[in-house]
Amino acid sequence: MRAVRNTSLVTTLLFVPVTAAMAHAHLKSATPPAGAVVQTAPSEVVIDFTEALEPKFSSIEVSDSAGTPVDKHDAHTAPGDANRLIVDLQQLPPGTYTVKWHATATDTHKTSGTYKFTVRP
Amino acid sequence: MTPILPEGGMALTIARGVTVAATLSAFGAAMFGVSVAPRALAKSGVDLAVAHWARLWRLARFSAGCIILATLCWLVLQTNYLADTSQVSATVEAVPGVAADTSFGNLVLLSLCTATALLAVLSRRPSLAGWRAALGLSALATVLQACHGHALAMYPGLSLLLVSDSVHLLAAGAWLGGLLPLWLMVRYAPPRTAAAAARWFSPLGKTCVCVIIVTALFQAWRLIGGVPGLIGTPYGGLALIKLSILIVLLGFAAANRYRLAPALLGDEPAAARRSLLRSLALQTGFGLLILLAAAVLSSLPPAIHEQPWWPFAHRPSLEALDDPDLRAEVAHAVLMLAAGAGIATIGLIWRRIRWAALALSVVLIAVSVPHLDPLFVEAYPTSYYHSPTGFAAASIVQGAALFASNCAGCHGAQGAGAPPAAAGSSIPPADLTAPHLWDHSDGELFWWLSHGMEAPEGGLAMPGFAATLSQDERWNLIDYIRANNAGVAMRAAGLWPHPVPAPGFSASCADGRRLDFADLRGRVIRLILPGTTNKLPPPGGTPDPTLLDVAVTTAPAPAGCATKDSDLPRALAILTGDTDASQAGSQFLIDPDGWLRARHTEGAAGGWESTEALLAEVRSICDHPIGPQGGNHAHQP
Repeated sequence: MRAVRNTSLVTTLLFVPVTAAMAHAHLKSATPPAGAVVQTAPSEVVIDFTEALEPKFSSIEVSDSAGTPVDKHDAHTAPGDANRLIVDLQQLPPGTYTVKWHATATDTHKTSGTYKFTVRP
Repeated sequence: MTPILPEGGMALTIARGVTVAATLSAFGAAMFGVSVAPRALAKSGVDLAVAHWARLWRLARFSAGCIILATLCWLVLQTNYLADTSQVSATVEAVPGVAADTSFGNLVLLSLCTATALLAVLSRRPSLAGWRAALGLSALATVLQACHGHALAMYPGLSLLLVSDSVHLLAAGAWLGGLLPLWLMVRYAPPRTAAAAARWFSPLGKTCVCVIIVTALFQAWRLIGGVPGLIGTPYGGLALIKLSILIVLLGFAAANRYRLAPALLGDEPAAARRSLLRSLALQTGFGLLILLAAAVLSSLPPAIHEQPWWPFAHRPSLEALDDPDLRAEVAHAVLMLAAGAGIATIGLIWRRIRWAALALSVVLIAVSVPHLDPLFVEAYPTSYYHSPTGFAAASIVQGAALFASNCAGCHGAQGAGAPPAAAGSSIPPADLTAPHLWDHSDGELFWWLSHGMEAPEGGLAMPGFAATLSQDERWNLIDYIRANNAGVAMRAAGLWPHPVPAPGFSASCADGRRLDFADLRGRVIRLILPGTTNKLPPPGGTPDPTLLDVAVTTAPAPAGCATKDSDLPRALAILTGDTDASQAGSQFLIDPDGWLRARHTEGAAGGWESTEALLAEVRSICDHPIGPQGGNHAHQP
């Protein structure tokens, strides 16, 4: 097996930096998941984070492919679970939607991210 | 490496560092007042003692005042960062909101109350009872500082990490915060009293250093995780810098205790005093540096939340020990190394054979070290990266689409073959359905996928996809390649040669609970995909408390838990090598560690329609755990 490894070496690329080194992995899971294609339109977007959040300084914004907001501007943490951020959605027609989240953890760290999901006709 | 930039800017970090320094100084002064000063001043005259108590008192009072001022600065700067505004008026307006409505603000208010109470206690020259009250209040202020750290955000409520952080800070306060009181004592007291103070401070300092080291190791384990996190992330790098400063501090402490303080009682006390004062001042300076490093550390995401960048061409691995020959070779080398170390030790103790013993040990070590080579394997900068996908069903399904458009041309539709497109390549494309795939970490696969595979004659046998596929897409592909590997093995041999993780999903239950895949660990999950005879879970729940039924359905589940994850059936089909993407009528069992363990298809013999058969399967799974890391077991669905 060591021979196989040796033939597949990429030592010349060993010190080429990749941008992922600074990635913050604070988003644990999301519903609908990143990139998902769902059959039924979700009524909310739920994101679980690795740390407890400050609801006052955390938000989720969902917009359609034209950039129009489709959420109800009511991002809040789940009752009894400060790691979970929820935003309610309007009735979504089929299409691709962008979720933009900003999270502030209780230790005042800020993170943010974007992902898309699709509602299938 | 990326430079270490504290989140929120340097001013915010310095305000935080000064707050912690003032808090530790107050606690250290109070600790000195309770435990060192009474003993050191026991044999000195009344006037001298009164003057020293006054100095200690003024230092403690000054520190308490600094806590309040620095905390207020920190609150304003933190508000400025949270509210994300450049206007002073907007920041000031937001301060009450931050103070009242955030955990940070609440902690700051508590700190301010505690510091005010401390200042009140110290408004008059304290008695010993007063010093004890000051010690209690400053200890509370120190614990509140620990509450600002990662511990409370990662594990809300009381956790071992929070206790460790608090004890770490208290020990740091008692030690580093005691340096200024000691400096005052050395500066103004007669040499005999100063030497006594240094002697009484010593056991306190030693205890604190031990506590600091033990708690630091625990915190490193929980926040850094291991060597890759230590050397491959900004957080780990800064922790190493902090460790280096600690070593310098220990050097000063040892010099003070064993050389400079005893010299106070020697022939030249004035010179000894000057040296000790200089040393204590320098030590305090390094102490402030370590607090600044700690403040920056608190502003960085912990290493375990980062992808560690591995800087070496090799990494340690016990993989080779699976091979009996290599295992024997390594065992011999380890024995020889141990013998070499033993002989060297004997040589150091027994003078007469010293040089012969050292020479023999050098030979033994030189001979054995090359045989440890199998313990190291080739490594890549991303070798220790971990997949952020959680092996989610959606990720596997997205990976399938990406594989078809980016990989199937060379690796074949199933990942096994060498289709015509690959005919021109000097080495055949890797068989992605071989069991060997599981020997490679996600991080290694990520490297090859991103930067390509080198051909023996130079150049790339496989191109890298870093420029064409996003990181998420590359992780999706890795999930699909693993799932497909498991599915092909299942189709060919009817079993999984390697433990297969269950695809990640989230579920919601009739009682309002929302469970993500991590919440579901610790018990056996039965996934039920409705078919013609296959019913959804009964409303009364399962007959066994260790078993949780989860229906996979888009229809509202009448009772129990259900997942609407529409990618889950397809992901399960890929994992089992089944062409039926709907998996209608199938049931799956997932063990408490998250491994996919058993499958039952509608109408198959020995079905789980019988409760006894189902429970027997559940018991069998619980009786034969794979463990969180997996192993080399074959699993029959």
